[in-house]
Amino acid sequence: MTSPLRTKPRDIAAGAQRVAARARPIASASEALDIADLLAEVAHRWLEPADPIRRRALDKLETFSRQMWADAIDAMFSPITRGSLRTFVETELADISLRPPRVIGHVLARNAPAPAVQSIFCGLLTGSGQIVKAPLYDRRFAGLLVDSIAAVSPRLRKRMRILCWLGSLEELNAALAVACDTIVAFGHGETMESWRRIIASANPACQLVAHGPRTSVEIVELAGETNRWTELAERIAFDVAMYEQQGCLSPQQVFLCCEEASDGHDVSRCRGFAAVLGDALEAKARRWRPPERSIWSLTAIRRAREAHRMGRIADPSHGPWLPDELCGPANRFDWTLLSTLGPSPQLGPGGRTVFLTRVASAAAAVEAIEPLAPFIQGVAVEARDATVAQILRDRLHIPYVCKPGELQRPPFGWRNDGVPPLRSLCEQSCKKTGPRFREPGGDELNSCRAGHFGPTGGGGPIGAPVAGSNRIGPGGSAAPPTPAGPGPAPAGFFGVLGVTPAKLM
Amino acid sequence: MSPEAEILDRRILAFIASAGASEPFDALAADLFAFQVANNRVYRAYCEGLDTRDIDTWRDIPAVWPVSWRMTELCSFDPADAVATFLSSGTTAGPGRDDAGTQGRSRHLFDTLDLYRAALAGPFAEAMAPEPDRRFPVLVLMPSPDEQPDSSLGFMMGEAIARFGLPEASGFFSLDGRLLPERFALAVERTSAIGQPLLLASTAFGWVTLLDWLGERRLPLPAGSRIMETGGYKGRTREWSRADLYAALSQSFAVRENAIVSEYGMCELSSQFYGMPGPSEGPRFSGPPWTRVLAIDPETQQPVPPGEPSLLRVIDLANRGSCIAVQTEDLVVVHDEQTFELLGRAPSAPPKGCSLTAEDLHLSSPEAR
Repeated sequence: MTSPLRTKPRDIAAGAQRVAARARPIASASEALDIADLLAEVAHRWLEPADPIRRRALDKLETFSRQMWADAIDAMFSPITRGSLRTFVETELADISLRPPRVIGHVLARNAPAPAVQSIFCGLLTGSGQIVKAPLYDRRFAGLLVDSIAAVSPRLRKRMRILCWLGSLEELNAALAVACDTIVAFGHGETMESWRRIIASANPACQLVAHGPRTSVEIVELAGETNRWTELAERIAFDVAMYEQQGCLSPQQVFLCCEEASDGHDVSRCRGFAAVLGDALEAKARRWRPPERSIWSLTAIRRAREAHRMGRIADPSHGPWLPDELCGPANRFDWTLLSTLGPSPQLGPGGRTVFLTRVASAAAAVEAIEPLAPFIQGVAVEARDATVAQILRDRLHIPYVCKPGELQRPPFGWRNDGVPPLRSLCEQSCKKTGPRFREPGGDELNSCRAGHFGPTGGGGPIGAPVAGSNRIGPGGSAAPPTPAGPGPAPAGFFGVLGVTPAKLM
Repeated sequence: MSPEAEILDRRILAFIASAGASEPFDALAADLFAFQVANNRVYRAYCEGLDTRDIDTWRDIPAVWPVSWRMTELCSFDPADAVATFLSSGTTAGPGRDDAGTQGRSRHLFDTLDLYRAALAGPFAEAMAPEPDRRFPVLVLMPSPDEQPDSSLGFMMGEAIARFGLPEASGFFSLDGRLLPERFALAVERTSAIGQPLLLASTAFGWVTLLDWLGERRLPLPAGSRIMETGGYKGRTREWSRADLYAALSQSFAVRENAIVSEYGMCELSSQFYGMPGPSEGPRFSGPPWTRVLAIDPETQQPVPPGEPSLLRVIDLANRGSCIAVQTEDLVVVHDEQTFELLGRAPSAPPKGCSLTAEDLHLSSPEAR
């Protein structure tokens, strides 16, 4: 990898030329299957405790604790098997005209290794050349991933070039846009806007598959016996704490479905579960030591805690229902639980902070999150009524619906933002309207541009997740095409955050 | 006003008048804290479990965070008796904030403005008056107290004009909340012609507005003139570094940069801090004798070692009617009990991988365009 401070536009252009020269864009699904077998071997090696690259990763990677990395590696690579990859390739590439790009650029987000693996693996499955822009302050994982591919297949390795530069250096970003036929980008809204603008100006022919920020929630029923609470709380704590709550599949809010919530007074059951969840988060903090947080992160957590505390002081009868002693260690921000007054969706300050919201039923929780649905990547559901998951997939078009504890372990090939990850690369074509995705022999599903985050550009609806895409999750099924957009925020939506509906829309 | 409050006010006024010589700071701070805990329901609940008799030093007084000022009325008197309410500008409570409960702006209620007036006069004169004991022109590019009666900054500048300003050559330059840079520039030009040093005051946002309007034009000020700059442009226009702003002001008004004085104030405080540009980016602010400062770790809420950057906490004895200890979200290095260097303000949200933040959500709204 070139020193990040020395990367020049010519390095990007030369890298693209080199990988393009070695690229062999696939002409048939069977060619992708050959590559899939190699990638399955790569994944298998990452799971081997004695594998030198895994061991090097655990020694060298810093962003998270060593034990979190060990568990994250298992979560990332265990779904990648020969069988799952072959099924994925056959499903995604069925009945389409293959037109893979010559060179794909991957713009990786900091602290989000799992999307990086899927993006790079899907890129390799196309046979294309890959330019990987690794995050400046978190580039080691990408380097190790490339090393692991080289260990299995030097030929595949030669199709990859990993580079690193400061994301604000637009000259270099423009060079990447010029060098690539497709860019798959992960990051925040401003980053996506920036890439959209740069591509429009530097190389309008380049296709952008933009994965903007999303959030996730959990919905759990607290009816019945409490003897399963400990195990349930441990699974939720896994979802929350993994990747330090910095991923789009990290839940920031847990809806506690409990009939007592309907009368608004008896909160003992919800408080009881909060105490169990606190214990689980504390245990997780011991297993996965939280990193040293920045002063701004600490300030944001303190601000949220103080708001919660002051809410209870200001209105002891009707304020937040969680007592201070259950909100987390007083002078240690390893984790934080905060209760909400109403069912409004909440976005927290990170740092393993979870908003707990009482609702009468899972259906009420679904209703509560509906306004935020276009920004929700995953929902973990523990409910007796199976239709809840179905509604989340079919009506709210949530890309990933699963059980608690599985949010951070999506199957390989899951549709981040609802975008079919391999087909969106192989079917890149018409630039004016964007390619259309079809289920094998089925209806048109969506525009690849619909995965874009943000209000403008690209021809996709504002911040719309891909409408009606095929959900891959437990029990997932293809959903009918439905136009989706965030829609106007309803009254009360984010009211407690100081974001009024007028400001939102 | 209660007899206890009257007695405390007399002690505080004496402390201010004597520049802290009337009694020990800790004694007055402890009594004021005890008074507030006894008379302020919210603060009492906030300090639950703490015996006010155990407070030996101002360092031990619990401070309330900005979010508390937005959610509750932190006053040690019946709110119905308030004679004035100052609101924050809103720059610290925007939609990017991802804390629950930040509904709007901070509110600071006063049952008397006597302490506020007493606290502002001396430090203002010391930092801003071109010549002692002589009135001078004060031209203020910001809304007047009549236009914005809930602005503590407007009130402060109105008081400054009343107390120190040359009546026929002082005033505010704003109409319906809109700054009037062209009229301000004309007034500067005409007043400068008299030859007497003058004081120009605005927020950083106001100065940027004026500099944009002036372009290459110069408005040389008479020798001895001062320029006051205070915060208030974050998020409202393109942001200049303080160094760039000072250089531009210095050039446009033909004054040395040490003629530019920064003011640090908050709606939640009754006293102000003033600072000259320091050797580094941030100016070094000094507070009056009735204030103290600490740098606090936001996680432990304990003071950090000297010289280590952390969040500013202010103890302000002039805050008798509200809360003596104010926690800010401004990053500072504290040099001594009354001096700090301002490094920045907490951003709206810390960066978080690809997880959605309230700021992202705001960015996705058409209004953010």
